[in-house]
Amino acid sequence: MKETLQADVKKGIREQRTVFAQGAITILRSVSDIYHFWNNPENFMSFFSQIESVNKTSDSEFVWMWRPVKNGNVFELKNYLVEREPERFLSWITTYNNDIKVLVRVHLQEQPYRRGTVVQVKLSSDRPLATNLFKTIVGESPEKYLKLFLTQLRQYLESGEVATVEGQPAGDQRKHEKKSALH
Amino acid sequence: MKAVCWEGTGKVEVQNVPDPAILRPRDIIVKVTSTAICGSDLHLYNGAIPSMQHGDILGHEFMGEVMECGPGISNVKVGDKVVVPFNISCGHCFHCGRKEFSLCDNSNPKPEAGDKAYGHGGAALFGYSHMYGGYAGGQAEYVRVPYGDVGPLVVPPDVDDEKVLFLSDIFPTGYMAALNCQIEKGDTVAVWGCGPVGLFAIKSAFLLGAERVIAIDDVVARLALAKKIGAEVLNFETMDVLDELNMRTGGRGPDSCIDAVGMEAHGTDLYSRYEEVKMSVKLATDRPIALRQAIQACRKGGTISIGGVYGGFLDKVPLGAAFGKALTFKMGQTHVRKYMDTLLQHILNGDIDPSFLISHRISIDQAPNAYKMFRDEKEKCIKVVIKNH
Repeated sequence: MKETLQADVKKGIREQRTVFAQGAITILRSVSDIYHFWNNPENFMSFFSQIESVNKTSDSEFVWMWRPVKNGNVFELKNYLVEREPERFLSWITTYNNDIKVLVRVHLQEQPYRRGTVVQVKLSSDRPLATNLFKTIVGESPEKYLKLFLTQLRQYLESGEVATVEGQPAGDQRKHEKKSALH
Repeated sequence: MKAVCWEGTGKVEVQNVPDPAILRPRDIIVKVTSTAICGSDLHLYNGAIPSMQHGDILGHEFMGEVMECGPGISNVKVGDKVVVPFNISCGHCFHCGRKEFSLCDNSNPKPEAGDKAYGHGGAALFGYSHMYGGYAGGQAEYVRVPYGDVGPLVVPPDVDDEKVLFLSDIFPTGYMAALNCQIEKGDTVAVWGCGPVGLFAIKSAFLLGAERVIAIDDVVARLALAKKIGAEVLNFETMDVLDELNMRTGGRGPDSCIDAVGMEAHGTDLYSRYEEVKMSVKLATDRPIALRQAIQACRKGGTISIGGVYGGFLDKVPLGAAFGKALTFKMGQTHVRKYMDTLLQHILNGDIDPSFLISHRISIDQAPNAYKMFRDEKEKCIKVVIKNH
């Protein structure tokens, strides 16, 4: 069943024009598994370390506390569900400072012959320079963030854990012990 | 613990580093009893592989005893004697499901560089640069093994390390190179390179039914070893490889050709020397000298199997000849885990004793000298095994 939200949020969708980042990944899980996982934003904390906390304020609203890889500041990102169609589509608007609005659209499509589910994500904004704005706020390009997010989502959903080398031993002349997956 | 650390081109050091710890539920910690220096470690030593960092712990051929298991591990237990494949595989992705373990989607925590360089990066490897995940390697006293329920092969406790250690890499690598030749009865297989992988490719070609194997190298000691295991040998320093192969195959060419050399091949002609200079000043990524010869030598409709490592962009590969002769190409990092059980059985049956090529047994403290010797003294150094405990 397709659910939609209130008129003012729908108006928000129409305002979103420019896709400034997009990515796709195929995950070897059923569309149902992925939809239900994604539909609960609290699940994101289990695999994406940049999300420090999730506060679900209602069935259609939640708040992320987000710590970027490069920038040490924590950001509060408010999210409003816009539309969801079980096992096919989810979209929500993420806002920062009640000013910047990013529309996140997630399409899911199960592939034939047990080849997994394609997850396609598009980020769009009403701001003409959304990419630069994103970089300014979080210190990294949205494409890189999205790619990392999708990669770690697949790692978690397929193998049950996110691959890491942080915390492993290295020689005493190591210069980049804490290098993140983005660099 | 002691570990062999990369500290720049031509420089490795044994350093005291912290012991590894369980970082993920499916990790295990292995006390390394035996580990080896691989020919592909020399690519790192020579600075031919980018994205190394000072302090990286080397080593991707190792085995030992399981000391600790993460809470997600149920099929391996403390005390098991295990051989660990050089590639790290999650066991659950699209590729692992097809036993394409070297193509695992999930094991590399830093997939960006591989994706950028290759379109889609492969599995992470132990001790083999940050493009391949940056995992600490096994030339150490202890090592953390991610997805310990997938890769490690439990071997009988009484089997000698030296007989099974090479299941971690070079035996399966030689085997896959031979398997990729799709050998039929009566086939002649030519193998470029009589280093450890080449020697196992020769052994494997015979195991898979090849009638003749012709081995090509310029290191006399290695050619002697190839001859000892049944190959006809050809020294490229003293004869024209293509003419000789044509002579020996009645003008038809070998049915399949294995390049067990890879990116740092040597040749005798001027162009080969030019390529060495280009590579030394970073104007070329690879020297595909053996590959060129293999393409030229192979019979029409034959197969080229590449087991030697290539890293980047290859100059002047005669694709026209390959197309004109309708050659089949098979290649890739070895799906080690796919072949380990079969090859262990061959070892336990007595069909093969892989320890035949070990030339040096050393302690970990001797590793820096061993790297230098392995690079510079090919006549006396075939394979170095580091014994820890």
